[in-house]
Formats: sequence, structure tokens, C-alpha cells
Amino acid sequence: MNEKELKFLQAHFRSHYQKHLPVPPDLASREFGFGWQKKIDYRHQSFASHKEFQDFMLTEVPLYVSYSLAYYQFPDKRPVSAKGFQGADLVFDLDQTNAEHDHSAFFCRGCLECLHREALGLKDMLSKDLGFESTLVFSGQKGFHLHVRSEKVRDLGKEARKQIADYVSAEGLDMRKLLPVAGESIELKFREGIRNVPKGPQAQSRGCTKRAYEAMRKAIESEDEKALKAYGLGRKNISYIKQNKQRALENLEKGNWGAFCDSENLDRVFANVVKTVRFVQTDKAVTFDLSRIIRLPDSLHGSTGFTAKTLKEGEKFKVEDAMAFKGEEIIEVIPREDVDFTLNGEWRLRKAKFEGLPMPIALFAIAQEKALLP
Amino acid sequence: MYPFSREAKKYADQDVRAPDVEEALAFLRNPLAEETFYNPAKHVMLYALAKAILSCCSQSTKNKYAEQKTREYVKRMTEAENLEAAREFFPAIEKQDGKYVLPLGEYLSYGSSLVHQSVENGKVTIEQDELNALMRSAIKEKFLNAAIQDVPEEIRKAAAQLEPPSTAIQSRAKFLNLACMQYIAKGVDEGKRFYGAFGLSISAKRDGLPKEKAVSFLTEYVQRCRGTKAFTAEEAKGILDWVYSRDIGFSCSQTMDNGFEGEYCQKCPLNWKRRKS
Repeated sequence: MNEKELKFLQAHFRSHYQKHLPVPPDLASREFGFGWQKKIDYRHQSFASHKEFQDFMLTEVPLYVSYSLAYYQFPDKRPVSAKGFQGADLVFDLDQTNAEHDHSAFFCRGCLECLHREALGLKDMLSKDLGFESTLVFSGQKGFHLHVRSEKVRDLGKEARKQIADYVSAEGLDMRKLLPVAGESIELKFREGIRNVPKGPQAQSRGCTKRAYEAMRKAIESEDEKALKAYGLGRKNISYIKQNKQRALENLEKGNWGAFCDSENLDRVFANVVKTVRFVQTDKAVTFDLSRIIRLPDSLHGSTGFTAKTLKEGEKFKVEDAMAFKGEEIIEVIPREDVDFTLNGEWRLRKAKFEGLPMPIALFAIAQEKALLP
Repeated sequence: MYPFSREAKKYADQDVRAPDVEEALAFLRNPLAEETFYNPAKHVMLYALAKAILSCCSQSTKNKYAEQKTREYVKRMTEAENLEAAREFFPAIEKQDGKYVLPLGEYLSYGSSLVHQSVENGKVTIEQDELNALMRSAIKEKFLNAAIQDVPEEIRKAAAQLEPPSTAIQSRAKFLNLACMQYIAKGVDEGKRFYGAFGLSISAKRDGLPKEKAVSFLTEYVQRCRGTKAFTAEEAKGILDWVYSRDIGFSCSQTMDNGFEGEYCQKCPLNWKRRKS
């Protein structure tokens, strides 16, 4: 970023931080990293007090602020092994989605919507399955972070965190191990002479298997053909379910999926349903890397000028709400390339064509390096 | 009484005699004798000595004997003993409807397959098989967890008896069959592992060992090495790759300088010092 644009952003960031300085819990035990040209230009910084941190932020005005998930005795020592590890928060980073949406290469609001939905699903799973209460934070640019700050997770080692990361993404899931109970479908035995059909998720199941049961029950109850197809059921099976809904539900309750699903297809169907209720794509390294530093919640993101906003329980996410800067002042910019985007209105910037933009939009375009100051 | 339990501590602090070391070796090599099991004082002493012996062994030998013993203990446990023993490692474990329920944190301390467990509200519900697997890793870890300083020589010698001879060395190999290389191949301590791998790689190359065979030979060597920090098969392979891409001669003096000079050098056909004098 050029000097002129950097100074412009820093002036606005400074005025924001004068009123809204984000401070992490246990500030003195955290390692900090700061960036001006890239997300982390240097790390291994620490601050003994709120005042020290404030002075640094208002003097140096970094565009990116990251802090350690770990708590250290000596946060500024290096290498990491000399810091005196005292535990760490658990964080999940969601920045990529496979969900279908109209994708746009530049500033994709669709991605953010899908990721927000997935993050809420993960938050729910963390609470219901693992018993972790988490805080949802917008990353300030492309995704979301879920922070678990609890004594329950503080002492977890790298291997335990890897297992948790695998659990939430269903990585390495072998359905045969998840559903080891061999059952017997009376109906199937009668119909096709097959015995010992593996039992699927049932009313008595727990955790994710219980949710898989509920997902299938919902699809059968509402005769949701699209969902049933997505789970891998064939046309014959779907028509059987439609004609014998009550019987299918009774069998489902006991885990006898073989009563309404081809036996050779069972594993695939189990897996599809379980993955529907438990598959969140996260950047696993963030979850298990104990020396990771991550964006400080409620700090500003130097590539957007948005706040890495902490979302309250039940709060709806709208990217405009994360815009740190308001105001009608018009700033003139020179676009560096053609770019169209929606952010508090529709914007069409054309390369080298002078454009007067409201300050928050100009700041976004400059931070994204799509525009320069004249 | 199981020797890894809290109760066993009251039998600790006994005097150890030389024949006890022999008995501890037999304790590791053979199935658990009933008379030992029902003699807590003796059982605890043998268990402690066995831990000391294993602490001097290579990683693969440690694993082999610890797994063997652990399996025996878990296999012989009755249902009641199982729950009691489980509480040594998982204090909050409960039995509910024929299954075991424990907090997630306790499961994660020894469990390795959370993705396959039934997890709800921070609690993991497991079947008997999974509890046995957890118990095996917990007991094994305790068996291998021995911080012993200044291990007596007789225990070191006993540990050496448990190490298997290297299988990968060809009988007609000239350099790999040297006593110093045989010594290295049995696994060396932290600080010598790199030079050990270097010496073995040079010998393997000079003996004309195909690279694939040399890789598996070095992998075996890595498993036998001892140390608190990891020395991986990849690191050893890196050394081997480097050696195999060059023409390096075997050097007796270099091997000695690297800390592998021993009594065996006196009888070595290549002994550089002896031949020089």
C-alpha cells in the first residue's frame, strides 16, 4: 500500500480507536502481532497494561491486530517454546463454504451469508454436543471465528484439539464405526430375506446421530422429496416412504433404516444424513495450532475498514453493521481497475475514472487496494 | 491389586536387589503369574523395576512390552475392577444403562477417535470395547511414564537384553556388520542419533544396500533410538538421501570422533588407531 493511502487509513483508524479500543481478556498474558502492509508484519509483542496497549495502538495505528489464543507467562519471549505456555482458548475459523450461492469473485456477500449460517450451526453443535459456549465474531473480511474461552478447553493439547476439529467436520468418519449395532429389520427380513441389517440413527441415539435421526424423520414426515434424494434414496425408496409413511417412521424410530432404504445403499445414506447435520468446513490449523495468533475481536480489518464485530446471541448478521465508519463526506478516488460491488448501495468503479464516494465506501475501496487517492 | 493404582503407592519404596532385576525382566517377557498378582508388595516392586528397565529401551521395544503388559491387565479385569481402575484415569466416569459416560476432557486425555463417539452436552458415551481401548492407552502411558535419573548400570544392561537384533543387515555386508555399526543399529541416545544415522547411511551405501532397503533399515533404527525430542524417520531419510547422492567413504576416525568408540574397536578389523600404531 502506498504511503498516502496508508496515512489516510491510519488517520481514520486512529479516530476510531480513540473511542472504541478493543481489549482482549487477560491482555497481559497474550502475545500480539501487528501489520501495516500485510496481516502480520511482526509478532511476539506484549503489553503489561491497558494503557500501554492503548498508547501503542494510538501511536503506531496498525491496520491489522492479532492476538494469541494462548496465555503465556512471558508472551514476548521467542521462540514460542520460551513463552511459558499456560493454556489456550479454542477457536474455529470458517472462511470457505461449499454451499451453493451466486458467487462473486470480489466481496462475495453470498459467501458471508452461507458462512454465517454454517457458523451458527457450528455454534449450536459446540453447545449441544461438546458443551462449549462460544462467541461468534465476524473476521472483518471473508468469514467468521468462533471463540471458546472456558476452563474446559484451556488445557486441551494439540491432539485433543485436532480430534475436536475432526469431530465438527466429520473428518475420517467411518459410518460402520459410528453405528456398530447390528440390528434386524423384521420387515426387510420378510420382504427380502435379509438378516442383520445395520441399525441406523434412532430415537434413542445421542449427539450428531440423534440429529441425523431427526433430519431423516423430518424429511419422511414432510415427504420432502428433494431432501430424501439428497440423502441418496432412490425413486423406489421414496415412493415406498410416501405410501407407507407411518410404517417408515416407526422403523426409523427403532433405527431400522433398511425397511425403507436399499440395504446396499445404507452406508451411503447414513453418511449423507450425518454429514448434513455435522459437516462444517473450518481451517483446522487455527483450531489445533497452539501458537496461532488471530484477529482481535472488535479490531478493524485493514483490508476492508470493517470491524471484526462480536455478534451478540441471536443477532442477525448484516455486513453493513460491521462498517466501522459512517458519514456522508465525499472522498475522491481513482479506481485501479473496474469493479462492481454492493455495500450500502450499488457501486460501479471504472479504471482510472475519478469517482467521488462517501467516505466509508472510499475507505473500503482503498483498503481493498481497488482505488487510490488522487 | 493393580500396580498402577493409587493403592499401590503404599507398597513403593522397597529395597531392590540384583536378582529382582532378573525377575523384572521375566515379568516383562512372560505372562503375568497369578502368584505375583496376589502378592502386592512384589507386584509393585516388579512393576516399578519393569518401568525403569523400559525407560532405557528403544521406542519400539518400550511399546512392544508396555502394550503386552497393558493388554494382560485389561483382559483380566472384572467388570467391577474395570470401573474402579477406570476411575484412576477418568475420575468422573459413570456407568449408565450398560454404557460408560465420561466428560469430554477426560475422554480426550486418552481417546483417539472422538469423531466416532456419541457426544452430547460435553459428555461422551462409550461402550465396553471403547473403554477397554481407553484403559489400554492410559495404563500404557503410565507404564511408559518414568522420569528416572541416573539409572543403575544393571538396569541398563537388563534393558539391552530386551532389544532385538537388527534384521535388516545382510550377512555379507562389510561395513554394516562392523561392531560399531551394530551398536548404533540397536538405537542410540539423543545427541548421537543424527551421527548414528549418518554412519549407518554411509555403511549401507558402501555395502551396496539398495536404497529402499536402506530406508526401512534406517526406519527401524529410528524406532530404536531414545530421546525426549522426536527424531523422525523423515529426518533419517533426509540424511540417507544426502549420503546416497554422494560418494562418501567410510571413516573409522570420523565414527570414533562422533562418539561411537567402544571396547569393540579393539577387535575391529578396521581399527584405525591400532593399525596406525
